[in-house]
Amino acid sequence: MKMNSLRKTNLGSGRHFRPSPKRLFVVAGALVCLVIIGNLFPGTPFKNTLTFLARPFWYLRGYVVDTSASALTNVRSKTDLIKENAGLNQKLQSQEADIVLNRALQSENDELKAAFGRVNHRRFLLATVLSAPAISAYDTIVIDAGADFAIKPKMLVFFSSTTIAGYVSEVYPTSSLVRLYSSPNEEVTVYTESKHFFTKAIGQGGGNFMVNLPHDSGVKGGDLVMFPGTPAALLGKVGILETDIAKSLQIAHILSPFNASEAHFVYVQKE
Amino acid sequence: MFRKNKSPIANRLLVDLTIFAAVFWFPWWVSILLATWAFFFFTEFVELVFVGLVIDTLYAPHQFFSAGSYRYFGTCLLLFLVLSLIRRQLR
Repeated sequence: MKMNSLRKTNLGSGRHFRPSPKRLFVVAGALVCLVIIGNLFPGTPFKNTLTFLARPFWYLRGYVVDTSASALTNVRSKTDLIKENAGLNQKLQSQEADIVLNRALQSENDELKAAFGRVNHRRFLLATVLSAPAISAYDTIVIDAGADFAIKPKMLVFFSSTTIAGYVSEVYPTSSLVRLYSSPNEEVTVYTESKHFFTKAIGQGGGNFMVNLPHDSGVKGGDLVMFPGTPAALLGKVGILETDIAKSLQIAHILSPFNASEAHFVYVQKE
Repeated sequence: MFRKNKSPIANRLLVDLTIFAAVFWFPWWVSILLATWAFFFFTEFVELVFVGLVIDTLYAPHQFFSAGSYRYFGTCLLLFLVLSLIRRQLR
């Protein structure tokens, strides 16, 4: 009777808490082994199962976010919507001229590359983002395409057809983990579009990068930073430039044009 | 807060489900805060360590033998040990 009473108390409130150090040690030790085995190799059953279990939760979250966003749009006032519509129309008109010019330049670029025997397009696979920063810790995103769509580690991932996001880090049966180039301490070789100055961009998290440049590099705020390749892809734009006189260096802060936490889809470059 | 002495296991399972759903739905600190809160309501709340384990397993990019891939597990394990000591002192 007494034993039953003790057992009952132990499962409930923590007021009668008597931790057994031995038991804690065994539990913690078992968990340490589990996490080391689980994270040591890509695609272990533990990781695959956990990702499989997480999928319905991620889909449900996506559905709730989309539904609530559309519901909020429906309750907005007419005046606000008219104002926003007018603003967007103005923006659209100013961008239409740029689009025509860009198309002309793109076709000229394609022709030139074709004349020199280079292919100027990428083959993409569209993937839905299941989890993105800040829900996904480590500045990674989880996408809904995995081994079932022949995704392989190190495949490049893009926010749009011209803006690079990162690369596939791990592949699961029905999903993949993408590491963003902006992840803290992730290094990527880039060049500045204006001066064709090659350097390494170091990820700072949240779509930010840092680049060390020589003092006289001539890079200005607003310059585009490109990811090398044919065709080259956009990584971001130079924001603030800091000058370190003691080291005769210039530190450029680069910001990606896309916010990973708002991305609904990404493009995985096929081989 | 919970129905005392009726079904403590059911209460614990409900809290566990909420915490692990938070790992999938909310930023990492929400689930860790929830688990820390639950630590003071349930005995030996090892789920706190599991939260870190799940975050690392789901979101950490694969890096062979890198301590960086166990960041949240380490944090939660440390939190578990510190909270255990605090609770022992408070007893």
